[in-house]
Amino acid sequence: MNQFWQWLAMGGYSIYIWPAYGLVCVVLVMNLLGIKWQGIRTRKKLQQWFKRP
Amino acid sequence: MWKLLYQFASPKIFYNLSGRVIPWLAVSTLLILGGGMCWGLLFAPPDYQQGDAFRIIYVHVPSAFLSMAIYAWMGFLAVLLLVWRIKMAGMLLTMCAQLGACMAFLALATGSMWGKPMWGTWWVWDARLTSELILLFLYGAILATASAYQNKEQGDKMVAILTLVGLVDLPIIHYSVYWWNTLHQGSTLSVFAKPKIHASMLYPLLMTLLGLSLYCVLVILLKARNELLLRERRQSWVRVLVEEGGV
Repeated sequence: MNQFWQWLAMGGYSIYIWPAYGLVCVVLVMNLLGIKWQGIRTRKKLQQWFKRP
Repeated sequence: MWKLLYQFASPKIFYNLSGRVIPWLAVSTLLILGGGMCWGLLFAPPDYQQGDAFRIIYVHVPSAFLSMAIYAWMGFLAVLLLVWRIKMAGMLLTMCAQLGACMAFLALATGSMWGKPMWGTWWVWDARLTSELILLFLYGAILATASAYQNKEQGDKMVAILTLVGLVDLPIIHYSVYWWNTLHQGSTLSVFAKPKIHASMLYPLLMTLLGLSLYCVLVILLKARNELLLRERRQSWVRVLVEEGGV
């Protein structure tokens, strides 16, 4: 357990390392979520387009 | 080669082919990027000077490399659009710019988080940092230009011209550490020279580099597929696809 906390502390640099990794993960995931929402919007737009007389 | 390029430039073939590639790409990205990050955080030894702070390299270098690589790729796409009039290239330009802006932002933000403990400051107007910031602004200008046009195809051409003009920033970013006396260190990796870091630190870096590159390809393909359907909505294959629920 002690070893885990030591690793988490990253030699005293944890306040820089974890936010850096966190930010990267957030941006990467947000990009994918954005594509998911874009896909839903695209599907709705296309369905409306094809319903037009 | 050109025949293959023209075939892939056909919207229908692009859509079908990318649909087959995406699941494999997603799994590879998750495994390689996740594996590289875990290796870098858990098993790579601490640096003899920087201690554990150097581990930011595993997210900073790949994002910085990709911010430039995506722009270089956009330069190629701009030529394809302006010279060979390949419409797909124009559409991909904006998709690439969105992702490139994310990578440039990540490179600057993670670099700043690495700079604070090592240099004692979040930001300096150093040649490398400033030229990378200019790259982020270039991406912003490209995205603003693309969204300003009602006619997408006309917008793509303007974006292509702007991209070609902005290409001049790439050698400036790369050589800034040699041309000027900068706080930023020189390149860690080079195609021709021997790596400056030990293999135990190098391999996870190569893994994250490959993983993030695959991620970028994945995101560009996914974005492009959505945009393609909207632009090609007058084509019969899109109607069939929507009616069959294949979107």
